[in-house]
This record gives sequence, structure tokens and C-alpha cells, in this order.
Amino acid sequence: MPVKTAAFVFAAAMLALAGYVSRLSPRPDYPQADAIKSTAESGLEDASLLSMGFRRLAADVNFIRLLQYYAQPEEPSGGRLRQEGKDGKQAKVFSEYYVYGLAEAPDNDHFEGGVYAELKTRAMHLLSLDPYFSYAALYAAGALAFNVNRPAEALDVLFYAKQYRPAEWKYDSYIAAIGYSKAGDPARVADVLDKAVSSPDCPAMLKQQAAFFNKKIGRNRRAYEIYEDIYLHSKDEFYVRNAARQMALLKGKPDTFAVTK
Amino acid sequence: MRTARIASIIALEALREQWKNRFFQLVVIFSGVLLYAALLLGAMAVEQERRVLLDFGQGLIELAGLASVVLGCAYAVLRDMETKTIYLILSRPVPRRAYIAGKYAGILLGAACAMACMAALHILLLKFRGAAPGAGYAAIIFSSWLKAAVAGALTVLVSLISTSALSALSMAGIFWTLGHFTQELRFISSRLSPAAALLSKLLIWIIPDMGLLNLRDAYAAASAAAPAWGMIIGYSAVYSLVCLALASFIFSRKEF
Repeated sequence: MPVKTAAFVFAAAMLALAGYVSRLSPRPDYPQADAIKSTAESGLEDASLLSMGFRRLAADVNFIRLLQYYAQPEEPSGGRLRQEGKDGKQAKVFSEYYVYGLAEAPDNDHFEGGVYAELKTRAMHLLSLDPYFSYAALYAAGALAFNVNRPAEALDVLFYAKQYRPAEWKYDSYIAAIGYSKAGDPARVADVLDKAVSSPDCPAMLKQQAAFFNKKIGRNRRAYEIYEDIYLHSKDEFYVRNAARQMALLKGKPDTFAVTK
Repeated sequence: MRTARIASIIALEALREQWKNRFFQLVVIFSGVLLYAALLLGAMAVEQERRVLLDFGQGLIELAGLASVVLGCAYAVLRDMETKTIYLILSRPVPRRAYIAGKYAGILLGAACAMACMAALHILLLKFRGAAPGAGYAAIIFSSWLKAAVAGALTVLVSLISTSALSALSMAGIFWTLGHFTQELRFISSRLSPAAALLSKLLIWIIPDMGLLNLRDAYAAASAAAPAWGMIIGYSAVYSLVCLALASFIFSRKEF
């Protein structure tokens, strides 16, 4: 065998041996490429980012997209929310950029409703990229369960995320809160969500839900405290403005503790 | 000892060349600007600004480090051959393996300095936004440098086999990509016939194991065990040394 060929074979054998040994070391558990729940538009982008080892970054980009999707005000029927123009003026379509304070926000009365049909698909996609992104799982599950009233989809998201972080107590709290919510027990929902609210990575949306349930059962002081927490710490303009409004309404209101079933 | 001294002189010269290289400077400046631009992306994530700023910055630092190492390694020897500088160097008592090792070490040193500067800027930006870099930041940047080192050694080898910088860059890109998909490749090989599976396994073992060096994912999965530093550093060193040894062997057989 010529020396050059022998050198190549020896080097390849050494590299293969190193590769064999390295692959015996344990790896973090992530979904394989075939388990990524890519959409038709995201397949190429996912493949490009994963091939460069930017799994977390791919999840981040999709999380921003999810935020923007969910920030688009929708009509209860599912279309983009419009405000009818007065005196023959063109109807106004609200921009999702109000979240960053860059566009006019719809008032609270307009914000009720919306279908957000792709919410679960988008959440599952980003979680399949990074199933350890617990904030995204909690955010999407909260929106699905308490805002658009699709608790079954919220549970799907939570159980998927829980496979990778079985010891995450916040997932259990949310699952319990969804269960109590379905059973029509706002007091228990408020109690369960209260635990999650104290966590620093609790989404503002969930804090708002916790405050809402506390207000509903007459625990006004606790509701005020949660709104104050949102007001002081949230970076989301919409929740900050809403918290300020709610704080003004709740200021000085005594607790009634009207626990209702 | 003498070889190591010569290699260190060549390394310092390569480091100086690297700093003077306009493309290298451009990569560093551009990465700095992009890191700053990451502030915008971070702000779009509202309450997850820290995470996005952290991931985007670390990703950019890794890409900039990789680009500087791979480009430096692809052109290091070939440029000296084209400009005939190599005759001046090799006409002196310079062992060829010292020349290769010195060039490689100089390029890695340059990348380490650039990545350290970018990491410092990144930490400043994080502090400016009231976020902490968090545990494992230095380890993640170091593992990115190790990835660039492995890719760089492979690039030196391919550039000497093919004598084309473009093919060396292409091969580095292909191996970089495949290196992040080794888990998937293993899954595919398990579905093949025994003979094909054995062949594909051999190929998979030869492909650099970038997944091992990707500490970003390991730190994100908090349930995972602490990084196996012995394995990470050992693997990177063995892979790079084997590539460089083979490159030195090929270089020693070239006639000038």
C-alpha cells in the first residue's frame, strides 16, 4: 500500500475512533429533525438554522412570530379586527406593533374575541424546536386556555412540554388551573395560578388572568397586588396600560371574598 | 523544542497577518454592529428579551469566529504558495509541520481574541439591558471556539488536498452542517441494510461531532448532565491534531 494511502487510512481510522468514542457521551434530549413540526413556510428556515446548531435561535424567531400573530387583534369570527370609520372614512385595521408602543392599541372592549386558529400549531412548532422553552409553553397554553377558550389544545401544549421537563411545577399548576376553570371553580383557579404568578418567568398574560380571577371572587387586594406587579415589571405596553387602569378601578376597594361556584 | 519555537514565531506572524487582514477586520466590525442590532430583535420578544439577546449574540459570535477561522485556514497556505512567500520561508530551516502548526495556531489565536472582544461587547449590551449573561456563558463561547478550531483544521487539510480555497470552504460548510445532524444520520443508518449501515456508521464517525461541542443546547436543557469537558476538549484536540498531521504529511510531500 503506498505511503500516502496508508496515511489517509490511518487518519480516517483515528478520526472514526474519536468519533465513535465521542458519540458514546450522553446528549441532551431534543426532538430529532423528523419530529420537528415545521409548517410549509418554515421548513427551509428550520433546516438552515438547525444545520448551523441554532436550535434555540430558531425557537426564538418563531416565538417572536407567535407573539406578533397573537398580538394581531382579531374579530370574534377570526378576521383582522377593524374599527369602522366614521363619516365614510376608511375602516382602521389595528397593527400588532401596538405591543411595542409603535401603533395605536385597540381599546379593551375591542380586544375580546378572536379565534387565532394557528395558535396551537405555531406553539407546537416552536416547542418542537426547543421543548425547554417553558415561557413559550406557558404563554401559548395560557392564551389557548383562558383567552380563546380552547383548553384541550392548551393541555396538548402543556403535556408536550412536560415530556421534556417533567419536574416543572408551573406546568402542573397550569394543568390544574385549566381543570378548575373547566369545572367552573374560579376560586381554585385563582389559588393555583397564584403560585405560578410568584415565579419571575411567569408571562404577564397569565398574571393578568390570575388578577382577573382574584377580582372575580372578590379578592380585590390580591388582584391589585398582581396588577401592580404587572405594571412595575412587564415590558408589554398593552398589559402595563391595562394594569394601570385596573389598579385605578381597584384602589381602595375592600376584599369581599365572595367565593362563588 | 526547536520546532515548537519556530511554530510559535510563525503563529505570531499569522496572528499579525490576521489582524491586518481587511476581511477579518470587516467580520469583527460587522459582528459588532449586528450584536448592537440584536437589541432590536430582543425588544421584539418583549418579556423574553434577555433570552433572544443572549441567543442571537452567541450565535453571531460563533458564526463570526467560524468565518474568520475557516477563511483564514483556507487561504493561509494557498496564499503563501501563490505569492511565492513560501519559498522564502521554506528556504530556511523551517520544518514543514512547524509551518502548518504555526499558521493554524496564529489563526486560532486571532479568532480567540476577536471572539473575546465580541463577547465583552455582548456582555456590555446585556448589562445595558439589565440582563445577566448567566451561568455557562464563557463555556458556550469556548465551545464555539472549539467548533471553529475543528472546522479550521479540516479546512487546512482539504485546502492542501484540493489546492483550492473554494473547495476547502465548501467542504468545511458541508461538514459543519452534517456535524450538527449526526443524531439524525445515526437514525437513518439504523434503517439501512447491515453492510450499508456499517459503511454509513464509519462515515458518521469521521464527520466532526459538532453536536458534542454545541453547549448552547446542553445548557438550555437544564435536565442534562454537566458538560463532559474531558470528552469535549479531548475530542476537539484529537480531531484537529489528526487533520493537521495529515495536512503536514501532504504538505511535506509537495515540491516547491
